[in-house]
Amino acid sequence: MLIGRDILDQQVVDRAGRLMGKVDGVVLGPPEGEDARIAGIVIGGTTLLWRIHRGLARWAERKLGGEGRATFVPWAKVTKIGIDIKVDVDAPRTRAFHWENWVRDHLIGRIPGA
Amino acid sequence: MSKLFEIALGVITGIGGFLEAGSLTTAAQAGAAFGYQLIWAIAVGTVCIAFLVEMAGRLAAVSRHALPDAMRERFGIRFFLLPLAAVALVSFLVLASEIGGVTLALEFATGISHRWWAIPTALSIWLLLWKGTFGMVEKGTSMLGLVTLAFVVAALTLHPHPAEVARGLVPRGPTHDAARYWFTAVSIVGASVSPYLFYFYSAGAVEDQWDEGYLTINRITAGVGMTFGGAVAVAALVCAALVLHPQGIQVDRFEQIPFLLTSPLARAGFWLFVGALFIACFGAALEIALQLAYLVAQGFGWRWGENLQPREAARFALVYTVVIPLAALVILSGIDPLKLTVISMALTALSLPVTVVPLLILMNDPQYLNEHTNGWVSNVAVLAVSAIACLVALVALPLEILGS
Amino acid sequence: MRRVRLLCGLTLAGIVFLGGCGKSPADQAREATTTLASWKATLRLLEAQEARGVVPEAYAGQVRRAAEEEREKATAELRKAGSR
Repeated sequence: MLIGRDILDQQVVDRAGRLMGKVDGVVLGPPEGEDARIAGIVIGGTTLLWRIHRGLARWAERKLGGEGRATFVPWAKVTKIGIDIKVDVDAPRTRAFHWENWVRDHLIGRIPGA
Repeated sequence: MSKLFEIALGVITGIGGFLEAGSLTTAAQAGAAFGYQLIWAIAVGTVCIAFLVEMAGRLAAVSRHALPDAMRERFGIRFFLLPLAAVALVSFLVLASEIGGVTLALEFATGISHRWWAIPTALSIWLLLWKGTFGMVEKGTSMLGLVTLAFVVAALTLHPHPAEVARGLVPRGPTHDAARYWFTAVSIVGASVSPYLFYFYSAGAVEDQWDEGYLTINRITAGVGMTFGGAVAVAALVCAALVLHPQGIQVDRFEQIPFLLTSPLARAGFWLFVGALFIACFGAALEIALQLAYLVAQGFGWRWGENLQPREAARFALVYTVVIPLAALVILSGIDPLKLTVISMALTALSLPVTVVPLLILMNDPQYLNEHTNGWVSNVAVLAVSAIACLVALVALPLEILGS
Repeated sequence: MRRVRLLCGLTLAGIVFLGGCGKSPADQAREATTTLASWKATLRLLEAQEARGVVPEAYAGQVRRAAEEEREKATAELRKAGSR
C-alpha cells in the first residue's frame, strides 16, 4: 500500500456513510523494522496548507494559534480502504464538521427554506 | 424499456442543453462574417466535447468518482489546484455571460434595460437551486431547451444549399480577415468544449448513481446527444449566413442576433428567439452554478448533493449562493454581454490543456477505469484539439484584445 | 525548471510583440468603415422588418440605440486613424 496513492487525498466516510472530508495529511508513527507505520490520518485544519505553501501555512497557524480544527483519526479506526476510506467514527461528534456546522448555523441556516 | 427512456432523455439533454450564450453568439458571428466557412469549427468542437462527455460519464460509472474528486485523489492537492483554479475562473466568466444572455432576453421582451434584470435573474437562479432537485434542473433545462430547435426550423425555412453547407464542413483557411477568422474559430471551439459541460455531466452521473451497466447508454447519449446539439449550433450559423452575411452585417451586439429568427419566422420568430435565449442561458446558468459547487465541494471532500436540503450540505450550498450574485455583479457593472461572452469562449479555449489533460490522464489509469481505459483514438482526438485550440488562442486572443 | 521559465518568458515576449504590432492605421480605418457599413445595413434590415410588422417597437428602439452607440465608436476610430 502506498500512502500517497491509496490514502492521501482520498475521501473519508464515517460509520454512518457521511462524507467527512478528504485525507489532508497522514501522521506516521515509529517505524516497525523497515516499514513505516501509520499512526493515523488528519482531516482539515491547516494540514492542507502545509502541502500547498509552507509560508502560508505558518502564517495561518500564527493567526489561528495552532493547527486550527484538525481532526485526527487513529489508524485503528480505519476500517476499509477502497474507493473511499471508511472510518469507525461519528463525524458530527468530531471537529471535522466544525466549519460545515458553522456555515449551516450562521449563514445557510439563516436563509429561509434551508 | 427503461433503458430506452434513459437514452432518449440523455439525447434530449444533449440537444436542449447545447445552445447557450456562447455557442449562439459565436455561431452568429461566424455565419455573419464568413458564411458557411466555419462550420468545420463547430464540427471539431462538437466531436471533441462528445468524446469528453463520454469520458466523464465512463469515469463516473466505473470508478464511482466524480471528476473533481478523482482529480484531487490522483494528482494530490498541489497539482489539483491548477485545474481547479482554471475551471473555476473560466466557468465563472461563462456563468456571468449566461446571466447576461438571460437579462438581454428580458430586455428584448420588455424594453427594460438588461442591467436591471441582473439581480432578479440571479435571485431566480439561486432560488431554483435552493429549492430544486437535481432531476428538476437536469430534465427541466433539457426539455425546455428544445425550444432552441427553432433555429433548425428557421434554417430549413431559409432553404440553404445542402452542398454548400457540406463544403463548410471541410476545414480551410480564411478568404479574408485572417485574425478575425481564427479568433472566431477558436471561440467556437471554446464554446463547444466548455469544461462545465463535462464536469456537470460527471456530477450528474454520480447523482444518478450510474454503474458499469450504463456504459452503453453513456456512449449513445454523449455521441448522439452532442451531435444533434452541434447541429442546432450549425443551424444558427446557417441562419446568420443567409440573413446577415448577404447584407454585409457583422454581429457586434446582441441586438443584431434576433434577426436570425425574425427574418425567416416573422413575429413568431422574435418571441421564439426571446424564449430560446432565455431558456438556454438560464439552464446553462443553473448548470454552471451547480457545477462550481460540485467542483469545490467534491475537491475538498465536503458533503454535497443537489437533492439534499441546503442545511444538510451547507458549504456546498454556500458556494453557489456566493458565486451567483458575484456573476450578476459583472453584468450589473455594465460590461457588454456580447464582448464578455466572446472573450470567455476564447479564454476557455486557451485553458483547454489545463482542464482537459487531467481528465485524459485519469481516463488512461486502470486503477480508476479497470479495463475501460481510453482507446488511442479518444486520446489523440481530444489532445490534438486542445493543443491546437490553445495555441491558436494564444496568438489570436491578444491580437483581438489589443487590436480593438 | 529553468527551461520552463525560459519558454514561458519567450512566449510572453512573443505575445507582447505581436500585440504591440496591433493594427496599422489603415487596418483600423478599414475595420471602422466595415463596422459603419454593417450598421447601415442593420438599420436597413430593421426598417424592412418594421414595415412587415415583424418586430416590436421596443426592440426596434433598442437596435437603433445600439446602432447609434456603435457608429459613434466607429466614427471616433476613423478620426483617430485618419489623424495618425
